Amino acid sequence: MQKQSLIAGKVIKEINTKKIKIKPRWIFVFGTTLAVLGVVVSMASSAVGLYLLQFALLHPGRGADRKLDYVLSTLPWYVLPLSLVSMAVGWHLLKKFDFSYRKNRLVVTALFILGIALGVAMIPLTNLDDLLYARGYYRSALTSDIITNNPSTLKPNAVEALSRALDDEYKALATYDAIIKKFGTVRPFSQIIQSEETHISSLLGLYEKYGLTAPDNPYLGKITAPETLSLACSLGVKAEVANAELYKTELIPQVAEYPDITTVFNNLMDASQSKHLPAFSRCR
Amino acid sequence: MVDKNITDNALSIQLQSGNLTALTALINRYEKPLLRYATHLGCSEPEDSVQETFIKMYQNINSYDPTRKFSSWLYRLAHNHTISRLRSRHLTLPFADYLDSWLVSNDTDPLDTLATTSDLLHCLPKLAPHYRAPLTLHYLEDKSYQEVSDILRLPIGTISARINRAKKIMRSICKNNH
Repeated sequence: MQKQSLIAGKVIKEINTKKIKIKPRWIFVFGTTLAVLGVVVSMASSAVGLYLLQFALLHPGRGADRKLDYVLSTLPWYVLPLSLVSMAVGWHLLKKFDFSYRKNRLVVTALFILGIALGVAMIPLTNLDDLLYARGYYRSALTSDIITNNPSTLKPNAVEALSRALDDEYKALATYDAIIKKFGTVRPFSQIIQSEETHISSLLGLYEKYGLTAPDNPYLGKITAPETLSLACSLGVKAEVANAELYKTELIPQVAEYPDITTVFNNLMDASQSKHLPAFSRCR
Repeated sequence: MVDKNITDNALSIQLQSGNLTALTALINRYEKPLLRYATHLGCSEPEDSVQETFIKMYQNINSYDPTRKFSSWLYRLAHNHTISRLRSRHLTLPFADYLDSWLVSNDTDPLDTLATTSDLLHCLPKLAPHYRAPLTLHYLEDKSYQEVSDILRLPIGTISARINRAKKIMRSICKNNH
Protein backbone atom coordinates (compact mmCIF):
# COMPACT_ATOMS: atom_id res chain seq x y z
CA MET A 1 0.00 0.00 0.00
CA GLN A 2 1.31 3.44 -0.92
CA LYS A 3 2.21 5.48 2.14
CA GLN A 4 0.05 8.59 2.21
CA SER A 5 1.19 12.08 3.11
CA LEU A 6 -1.17 14.36 4.98
CA ILE A 7 -2.26 16.14 1.82
CA ALA A 8 -2.71 12.85 -0.04
CA GLY A 9 -4.91 11.60 2.77
CA LYS A 10 -7.05 14.74 2.66
CA VAL A 11 -7.36 14.59 -1.12
CA ILE A 12 -8.40 10.92 -1.14
CA LYS A 13 -10.86 11.58 1.67
CA GLU A 14 -12.41 14.51 -0.18
CA ILE A 15 -12.67 12.51 -3.39
CA ASN A 16 -14.45 9.71 -1.53
CA THR A 17 -16.75 11.82 0.63
CA LYS A 18 -17.75 14.28 -2.09
CA LYS A 19 -17.83 11.51 -4.70
CA ILE A 20 -15.62 13.54 -7.03
CA LYS A 21 -15.32 11.92 -10.45
CA ILE A 22 -12.77 12.11 -13.22
CA LYS A 23 -14.24 14.13 -16.08
CA PRO A 24 -14.64 11.95 -19.17
CA ARG A 25 -12.33 12.52 -22.11
CA TRP A 26 -15.15 13.56 -24.45
CA ILE A 27 -15.66 16.77 -22.47
CA PHE A 28 -12.13 17.89 -23.35
CA VAL A 29 -12.48 16.77 -26.96
CA PHE A 30 -15.75 18.67 -27.13
CA GLY A 31 -14.11 21.74 -25.59
CA THR A 32 -11.29 21.67 -28.13
CA THR A 33 -13.77 21.21 -30.98
CA LEU A 34 -15.78 24.18 -29.73
CA ALA A 35 -12.63 26.28 -29.55
CA VAL A 36 -11.69 25.37 -33.14
CA LEU A 37 -15.24 26.10 -34.26
CA GLY A 38 -15.11 29.37 -32.36
CA VAL A 39 -12.03 30.44 -34.29
CA VAL A 40 -13.58 29.43 -37.62
CA VAL A 41 -16.90 31.15 -36.87
CA SER A 42 -15.17 34.26 -35.60
CA MET A 43 -13.04 34.46 -38.73
CA ALA A 44 -16.09 33.91 -40.94
CA SER A 45 -18.19 36.55 -39.21
CA SER A 46 -15.26 38.97 -39.28
CA ALA A 47 -14.90 38.31 -43.00
CA VAL A 48 -18.61 38.96 -43.63
CA GLY A 49 -18.54 42.17 -41.61
CA LEU A 50 -15.43 43.41 -43.39
CA TYR A 51 -16.82 42.38 -46.76
CA LEU A 52 -19.92 44.48 -46.16
CA LEU A 53 -17.70 47.38 -45.18
CA GLN A 54 -15.58 46.84 -48.29
CA PHE A 55 -18.74 46.74 -50.36
CA ALA A 56 -19.83 50.05 -48.93
CA LEU A 57 -16.47 51.64 -49.58
CA LEU A 58 -15.76 50.27 -53.05
CA HIS A 59 -19.18 50.81 -54.60
CA PRO A 60 -19.72 54.44 -53.87
CA GLY A 61 -21.21 55.63 -57.15
CA ARG A 62 -23.03 58.89 -56.85
CA GLY A 63 -23.88 60.16 -53.44
CA ALA A 64 -20.74 58.48 -52.12
CA ASP A 65 -20.58 60.77 -49.16
CA ARG A 66 -23.81 59.36 -47.83
CA LYS A 67 -23.62 55.89 -49.24
CA LEU A 68 -21.55 54.42 -46.43
CA ASP A 69 -23.94 55.80 -43.85
CA TYR A 70 -26.78 54.38 -45.84
CA VAL A 71 -25.32 50.90 -46.16
CA LEU A 72 -24.46 50.85 -42.49
CA SER A 73 -27.97 51.95 -41.62
CA THR A 74 -29.45 49.14 -43.69
CA LEU A 75 -27.27 46.52 -42.01
CA PRO A 76 -28.36 44.99 -38.75
CA TRP A 77 -26.68 47.27 -36.18
CA TYR A 78 -24.75 44.41 -34.67
CA VAL A 79 -22.91 43.31 -37.83
CA LEU A 80 -19.87 45.53 -37.52
CA PRO A 81 -19.46 45.36 -33.73
CA LEU A 82 -20.00 41.61 -34.04
CA SER A 83 -17.24 41.33 -36.62
CA LEU A 84 -14.83 43.25 -34.40
CA VAL A 85 -15.79 41.26 -31.32
CA SER A 86 -15.49 38.06 -33.35
CA MET A 87 -12.00 39.06 -34.38
CA ALA A 88 -11.04 39.67 -30.77
CA VAL A 89 -12.61 36.39 -29.61
CA GLY A 90 -10.89 34.47 -32.40
CA TRP A 91 -7.56 36.00 -31.50
CA HIS A 92 -8.09 35.22 -27.81
CA LEU A 93 -9.00 31.60 -28.60
CA LEU A 94 -5.94 31.27 -30.81
CA LYS A 95 -3.78 32.52 -27.99
CA LYS A 96 -5.37 30.03 -25.61
CA PHE A 97 -4.62 27.14 -27.90
CA ASP A 98 -2.09 24.76 -26.51
CA PHE A 99 0.34 25.25 -29.35
CA SER A 100 0.14 28.99 -29.82
CA TYR A 101 2.75 30.05 -27.28
CA ARG A 102 5.29 27.81 -29.01
CA LYS A 103 4.75 29.57 -32.33
CA ASN A 104 5.99 32.88 -33.45
CA ARG A 105 3.25 35.30 -32.50
CA LEU A 106 3.86 37.37 -35.61
CA VAL A 107 3.29 34.31 -37.79
CA VAL A 108 0.08 33.40 -35.93
CA THR A 109 -1.15 37.00 -36.23
CA ALA A 110 -0.27 37.11 -39.92
CA LEU A 111 -2.08 33.81 -40.56
CA PHE A 112 -5.12 35.03 -38.66
CA ILE A 113 -5.30 38.25 -40.68
CA LEU A 114 -4.59 36.37 -43.89
CA GLY A 115 -7.42 33.95 -43.09
CA ILE A 116 -9.87 36.81 -42.63
CA ALA A 117 -8.64 38.54 -45.80
CA LEU A 118 -9.01 35.27 -47.69
CA GLY A 119 -12.52 34.94 -46.30
CA VAL A 120 -13.37 38.44 -47.53
CA ALA A 121 -12.02 37.56 -50.99
CA MET A 122 -13.87 34.23 -51.05
CA ILE A 123 -17.28 35.78 -50.41
CA PRO A 124 -17.78 37.13 -53.95
CA LEU A 125 -15.97 34.16 -55.53
CA THR A 126 -18.33 31.69 -53.90
CA ASN A 127 -21.38 33.87 -54.58
CA LEU A 128 -21.99 34.11 -50.86
CA ASP A 129 -22.65 37.80 -51.44
CA ASP A 130 -25.74 36.84 -53.41
CA LEU A 131 -26.90 34.88 -50.42
CA LEU A 132 -26.26 37.90 -48.23
CA TYR A 133 -28.16 39.97 -50.70
CA ALA A 134 -31.04 37.51 -50.64
CA ARG A 135 -31.06 37.82 -46.84
CA GLY A 136 -31.58 41.54 -47.36
CA TYR A 137 -28.30 42.72 -45.83
CA TYR A 138 -27.55 45.25 -48.50
CA ARG A 139 -30.50 45.05 -50.83
CA SER A 140 -31.54 48.55 -49.85
CA ALA A 141 -28.14 49.88 -50.77
CA LEU A 142 -28.51 48.46 -54.24
CA THR A 143 -32.06 49.44 -54.85
CA SER A 144 -32.33 52.84 -53.28
CA ASP A 145 -30.42 55.82 -52.10
CA ILE A 146 -30.58 58.20 -49.26
CA ILE A 147 -32.03 60.75 -51.63
CA THR A 148 -35.63 59.81 -52.08
CA ASN A 149 -36.95 60.70 -55.48
CA ASN A 150 -40.56 61.46 -55.92
CA PRO A 151 -41.99 58.73 -58.19
CA SER A 152 -43.96 61.28 -60.14
CA THR A 153 -40.76 63.02 -61.21
CA LEU A 154 -39.26 60.00 -63.03
CA LYS A 155 -38.78 61.23 -66.56
CA PRO A 156 -39.62 59.16 -69.66
CA ASN A 157 -35.97 58.66 -70.61
CA ALA A 158 -35.27 57.25 -67.15
CA VAL A 159 -38.27 54.94 -67.43
CA GLU A 160 -36.95 53.80 -70.78
CA ALA A 161 -33.47 53.19 -69.34
CA LEU A 162 -34.99 51.15 -66.55
CA SER A 163 -37.02 49.17 -69.04
CA ARG A 164 -33.99 48.44 -71.24
CA ALA A 165 -31.90 47.41 -68.25
CA LEU A 166 -34.59 45.00 -67.10
CA ASP A 167 -34.99 43.66 -70.63
CA ASP A 168 -31.26 43.01 -70.89
CA GLU A 169 -31.18 41.21 -67.55
CA TYR A 170 -34.29 39.20 -68.49
CA LYS A 171 -32.61 38.10 -71.71
CA ALA A 172 -29.45 37.06 -69.89
CA LEU A 173 -31.44 35.08 -67.34
CA ALA A 174 -33.45 33.29 -70.05
CA THR A 175 -30.26 32.48 -72.00
CA TYR A 176 -28.49 30.99 -68.98
CA ASP A 177 -31.67 29.14 -68.06
CA ALA A 178 -31.74 27.54 -71.53
CA ILE A 179 -28.06 26.58 -71.22
CA ILE A 180 -28.60 24.95 -67.82
CA LYS A 181 -31.60 23.05 -69.17
CA LYS A 182 -29.48 21.74 -72.02
CA PHE A 183 -26.18 21.03 -70.27
CA GLY A 184 -27.28 20.54 -66.67
CA THR A 185 -26.23 22.52 -63.61
CA VAL A 186 -22.81 23.53 -64.88
CA ARG A 187 -20.56 26.28 -63.63
CA PRO A 188 -20.34 29.20 -64.10
CA PHE A 189 -23.90 29.32 -65.44
CA SER A 190 -25.40 27.82 -62.29
CA GLN A 191 -23.83 30.59 -60.20
CA ILE A 192 -24.34 33.47 -62.60
CA ILE A 193 -28.02 32.70 -63.08
CA GLN A 194 -28.50 33.30 -59.35
CA SER A 195 -26.68 36.55 -59.72
CA GLU A 196 -28.93 37.55 -62.62
CA GLU A 197 -31.94 36.88 -60.43
CA THR A 198 -30.42 39.22 -57.90
CA HIS A 199 -29.90 41.90 -60.54
CA ILE A 200 -33.49 41.56 -61.70
CA SER A 201 -34.65 41.81 -58.13
CA SER A 202 -32.70 45.08 -57.75
CA LEU A 203 -34.36 46.52 -60.84
CA LEU A 204 -37.78 45.34 -59.75
CA GLY A 205 -37.14 47.14 -56.49
CA LEU A 206 -36.74 50.36 -58.46
CA TYR A 207 -39.92 49.64 -60.40
CA GLU A 208 -41.73 49.22 -57.14
CA LYS A 209 -40.19 52.35 -55.69
CA TYR A 210 -41.34 54.48 -58.59
CA GLY A 211 -44.76 52.91 -58.80
CA LEU A 212 -44.10 51.37 -62.21
CA THR A 213 -45.45 48.06 -63.39
CA ALA A 214 -42.74 45.67 -64.42
CA PRO A 215 -43.32 43.30 -67.33
CA ASP A 216 -42.82 39.55 -67.01
CA ASN A 217 -39.78 37.96 -68.60
CA PRO A 218 -40.76 37.57 -72.27
CA TYR A 219 -37.70 35.46 -73.13
CA LEU A 220 -38.10 32.55 -70.73
CA GLY A 221 -38.38 29.27 -72.64
CA LYS A 222 -38.01 31.01 -75.97
CA ILE A 223 -34.23 31.06 -76.29
CA THR A 224 -32.27 28.23 -77.86
CA ALA A 225 -29.04 27.26 -76.15
CA PRO A 226 -25.82 27.08 -78.20
CA GLU A 227 -24.59 23.71 -79.48
CA THR A 228 -21.64 23.37 -77.13
CA LEU A 229 -20.73 24.59 -73.70
CA SER A 230 -17.68 26.34 -75.10
CA LEU A 231 -19.91 28.29 -77.48
CA ALA A 232 -22.17 29.09 -74.57
CA CYS A 233 -19.22 30.53 -72.64
CA SER A 234 -18.18 32.62 -75.64
CA LEU A 235 -21.73 33.87 -75.89
CA GLY A 236 -21.58 34.73 -72.20
CA VAL A 237 -18.44 36.80 -72.73
CA LYS A 238 -20.05 38.72 -75.58
CA ALA A 239 -23.24 39.27 -73.61
CA GLU A 240 -21.40 40.60 -70.56
CA VAL A 241 -19.24 42.92 -72.67
CA ALA A 242 -22.35 44.23 -74.42
CA ASN A 243 -24.15 44.56 -71.10
CA ALA A 244 -21.40 46.69 -69.60
CA GLU A 245 -21.23 48.80 -72.72
CA LEU A 246 -24.97 49.33 -72.65
CA TYR A 247 -24.91 50.57 -69.06
CA LYS A 248 -21.84 52.71 -69.54
CA THR A 249 -22.65 54.48 -72.77
CA GLU A 250 -26.42 54.59 -72.79
CA LEU A 251 -28.30 53.73 -69.64
CA ILE A 252 -26.24 55.43 -66.93
CA PRO A 253 -26.14 58.80 -68.74
CA GLN A 254 -29.92 58.56 -69.18
CA VAL A 255 -30.51 58.34 -65.42
CA ALA A 256 -27.81 60.79 -64.36
CA GLU A 257 -30.21 62.90 -62.35
CA TYR A 258 -31.38 59.91 -60.32
CA PRO A 259 -28.61 58.91 -57.92
CA ASP A 260 -30.46 55.84 -56.69
CA ILE A 261 -30.93 54.40 -60.18
CA THR A 262 -27.38 55.35 -61.12
CA THR A 263 -26.07 53.49 -58.09
CA VAL A 264 -27.99 50.37 -59.02
CA PHE A 265 -26.85 50.55 -62.64
CA ASN A 266 -23.24 51.06 -61.56
CA ASN A 267 -23.43 48.07 -59.26
CA LEU A 268 -24.94 45.86 -61.96
CA MET A 269 -22.28 46.96 -64.43
CA ASP A 270 -19.53 46.30 -61.89
CA ALA A 271 -20.88 42.83 -61.16
CA SER A 272 -21.00 42.07 -64.85
CA GLN A 273 -17.41 43.20 -65.38
CA SER A 274 -15.73 42.01 -62.22
CA LYS A 275 -17.52 38.70 -61.70
CA HIS A 276 -19.43 37.39 -64.69
CA LEU A 277 -16.99 38.32 -67.43
CA PRO A 278 -13.94 36.70 -65.76
CA ALA A 279 -15.97 33.56 -65.04
CA PHE A 280 -17.05 33.21 -68.66
CA SER A 281 -13.57 34.01 -69.93
CA ARG A 282 -12.16 31.15 -67.85
CA CYS A 283 -14.64 28.58 -69.15
CA ARG A 284 -14.37 29.59 -72.79
CA MET B 1 3.61 -0.09 -3.05
CA VAL B 2 4.30 1.87 -6.22
CA ASP B 3 7.67 1.24 -7.82
CA LYS B 4 9.84 4.34 -7.43
CA ASN B 5 11.13 3.93 -10.96
CA ILE B 6 7.70 4.15 -12.52
CA THR B 7 7.43 7.32 -14.58
CA ASP B 8 4.99 10.16 -14.06
CA ASN B 9 3.45 9.41 -17.41
CA ALA B 10 2.84 5.77 -16.49
CA LEU B 11 1.24 6.88 -13.22
CA SER B 12 -0.92 9.43 -15.01
CA ILE B 13 -2.15 6.74 -17.40
CA GLN B 14 -3.04 4.55 -14.41
CA LEU B 15 -4.81 7.50 -12.84
CA GLN B 16 -6.81 8.07 -16.03
CA SER B 17 -8.36 4.66 -15.38
CA GLY B 18 -9.24 5.72 -11.81
CA ASN B 19 -6.35 4.13 -9.90
CA LEU B 20 -6.16 5.95 -6.54
CA THR B 21 -2.81 4.38 -5.67
CA ALA B 22 -1.35 6.17 -8.68
CA LEU B 23 -2.96 9.38 -7.38
CA THR B 24 -1.32 8.94 -3.99
CA ALA B 25 2.06 8.29 -5.64
CA LEU B 26 1.77 11.43 -7.76
CA ILE B 27 0.76 13.52 -4.75
CA ASN B 28 3.72 12.18 -2.76
CA ARG B 29 6.04 13.14 -5.61
CA TYR B 30 4.76 16.64 -6.20
CA GLU B 31 3.41 17.74 -2.85
CA LYS B 32 6.58 19.49 -1.65
CA PRO B 33 7.56 21.19 -4.92
CA LEU B 34 4.01 22.50 -5.38
CA LEU B 35 3.80 23.72 -1.78
CA ARG B 36 7.05 25.55 -2.32
CA TYR B 37 5.89 27.01 -5.62
CA ALA B 38 2.52 28.17 -4.23
CA THR B 39 4.35 29.81 -1.36
CA HIS B 40 6.78 31.50 -3.70
CA LEU B 41 3.88 32.94 -5.62
CA GLY B 42 2.68 34.56 -2.43
CA CYS B 43 -0.06 32.17 -1.37
CA SER B 44 -0.78 32.38 2.36
CA GLU B 45 -2.52 29.00 2.52
CA PRO B 46 -0.34 26.85 0.31
CA GLU B 47 -1.63 23.55 1.75
CA ASP B 48 -5.21 24.38 0.81
CA SER B 49 -4.14 25.59 -2.62
CA VAL B 50 -2.09 22.47 -3.32
CA GLN B 51 -4.82 20.19 -2.02
CA GLU B 52 -7.30 21.83 -4.40
CA THR B 53 -4.75 21.58 -7.21
CA PHE B 54 -4.49 17.82 -6.69
CA ILE B 55 -8.26 17.47 -6.73
CA LYS B 56 -8.31 19.41 -10.01
CA MET B 57 -5.56 17.16 -11.28
CA TYR B 58 -7.71 14.14 -10.48
CA GLN B 59 -10.82 15.61 -12.11
CA ASN B 60 -9.01 16.78 -15.22
CA ILE B 61 -6.51 13.99 -15.68
CA ASN B 62 -8.16 13.07 -18.98
CA SER B 63 -7.13 16.43 -20.41
CA TYR B 64 -3.49 15.50 -19.88
CA ASP B 65 -1.72 14.38 -23.03
CA PRO B 66 0.80 11.66 -22.02
CA THR B 67 3.10 12.67 -24.88
CA ARG B 68 3.83 15.88 -22.97
CA LYS B 69 5.79 16.28 -19.76
CA PHE B 70 3.53 15.57 -16.78
CA SER B 71 5.28 17.94 -14.38
CA SER B 72 4.77 20.90 -16.74
CA TRP B 73 1.07 20.11 -16.99
CA LEU B 74 0.74 19.82 -13.21
CA TYR B 75 2.71 22.99 -12.53
CA ARG B 76 0.46 24.75 -15.03
CA LEU B 77 -2.60 23.64 -13.04
CA ALA B 78 -0.97 24.71 -9.79
CA HIS B 79 0.07 28.07 -11.23
CA ASN B 80 -3.39 28.88 -12.57
CA HIS B 81 -5.11 27.73 -9.41
CA THR B 82 -2.79 29.65 -7.09
CA ILE B 83 -3.00 32.83 -9.16
CA SER B 84 -6.79 32.68 -9.28
CA ARG B 85 -6.88 32.12 -5.50
CA LEU B 86 -4.65 35.12 -5.00
CA ARG B 87 -6.77 37.22 -7.30
CA SER B 88 -10.04 36.20 -5.72
CA ARG B 89 -8.81 36.86 -2.20
CA HIS B 90 -6.44 39.71 -3.01
CA LEU B 91 -3.77 37.82 -1.19
CA THR B 92 -0.15 38.68 -1.45
CA LEU B 93 2.26 37.62 1.16
CA PRO B 94 5.87 38.34 1.75
CA PHE B 95 8.18 35.81 0.30
CA ALA B 96 7.93 32.66 2.33
CA ASP B 97 10.08 30.93 4.82
CA TYR B 98 10.61 28.31 2.17
CA LEU B 99 12.95 30.62 0.32
CA ASP B 100 14.93 31.20 3.46
CA SER B 101 15.33 27.51 4.11
CA TRP B 102 16.10 26.87 0.47
CA LEU B 103 18.80 29.51 0.42
CA VAL B 104 20.30 28.29 3.65
CA SER B 105 20.42 24.73 2.39
CA ASN B 106 21.98 25.66 -0.94
CA ASP B 107 25.54 26.74 -1.40
CA THR B 108 25.10 28.73 -4.57
CA ASP B 109 23.13 31.87 -4.97
CA PRO B 110 20.85 31.41 -7.94
CA LEU B 111 20.89 35.04 -8.80
CA ASP B 112 24.66 35.34 -8.99
CA THR B 113 25.08 38.96 -8.16
CA LEU B 114 22.71 39.15 -5.24
CA ALA B 115 24.87 38.57 -2.27
CA THR B 116 22.89 37.63 0.79
CA THR B 117 19.81 35.74 1.81
CA SER B 118 18.60 38.84 3.51
CA ASP B 119 18.82 40.75 0.23
CA LEU B 120 16.66 38.22 -1.52
CA LEU B 121 14.10 38.11 1.24
CA HIS B 122 13.71 41.83 1.04
CA CYS B 123 13.74 42.11 -2.72
CA LEU B 124 11.85 39.15 -4.15
CA PRO B 125 8.44 39.91 -2.67
CA LYS B 126 8.56 43.30 -4.33
CA LEU B 127 8.71 41.76 -7.76
CA ALA B 128 5.52 41.74 -9.78
CA PRO B 129 3.97 38.24 -10.08
CA HIS B 130 4.65 38.02 -13.81
CA TYR B 131 8.36 38.38 -13.05
CA ARG B 132 8.30 36.33 -9.87
CA ALA B 133 6.74 33.24 -11.47
CA PRO B 134 9.37 32.62 -14.19
CA LEU B 135 12.20 33.54 -11.82
CA THR B 136 10.92 31.13 -9.18
CA LEU B 137 10.32 28.31 -11.64
CA HIS B 138 13.72 28.65 -13.24
CA TYR B 139 15.92 29.26 -10.22
CA LEU B 140 14.05 27.70 -7.34
CA GLU B 141 12.16 24.90 -9.05
CA ASP B 142 15.03 24.17 -11.40
CA LYS B 143 12.89 24.20 -14.54
CA SER B 144 14.42 24.76 -17.93
CA TYR B 145 13.30 27.71 -20.05
CA GLN B 146 11.27 25.30 -22.20
CA GLU B 147 9.50 23.91 -19.14
CA VAL B 148 8.83 27.40 -17.78
CA SER B 149 7.47 28.30 -21.20
CA ASP B 150 5.19 25.21 -21.11
CA ILE B 151 3.98 25.99 -17.60
CA LEU B 152 3.28 29.68 -18.12
CA ARG B 153 2.20 29.25 -21.77
CA LEU B 154 4.47 32.00 -22.92
CA PRO B 155 7.02 31.95 -25.74
CA ILE B 156 10.58 31.09 -24.70
CA GLY B 157 11.75 34.52 -25.81
CA THR B 158 9.29 36.15 -23.42
CA ILE B 159 10.41 33.88 -20.57
CA SER B 160 14.04 34.69 -21.21
CA ALA B 161 13.31 38.41 -21.38
CA ARG B 162 11.25 38.33 -18.18
CA ILE B 163 13.91 36.47 -16.24
CA ASN B 164 16.60 38.88 -17.36
CA ARG B 165 14.40 41.83 -16.60
CA ALA B 166 13.48 40.37 -13.21
CA LYS B 167 17.15 39.99 -12.33
CA LYS B 168 17.82 43.61 -13.24
CA ILE B 169 14.85 44.80 -11.20
CA MET B 170 16.01 42.64 -8.29
CA ARG B 171 19.46 44.19 -8.39
CA SER B 172 17.93 47.63 -8.49
CA ILE B 173 15.53 46.94 -5.63
CA CYS B 174 18.27 45.40 -3.52
CA LYS B 175 20.59 48.30 -4.20
CA ASN B 176 17.97 50.77 -3.01
CA ASN B 177 17.43 48.73 0.15
CA HIS B 178 21.01 49.14 1.25
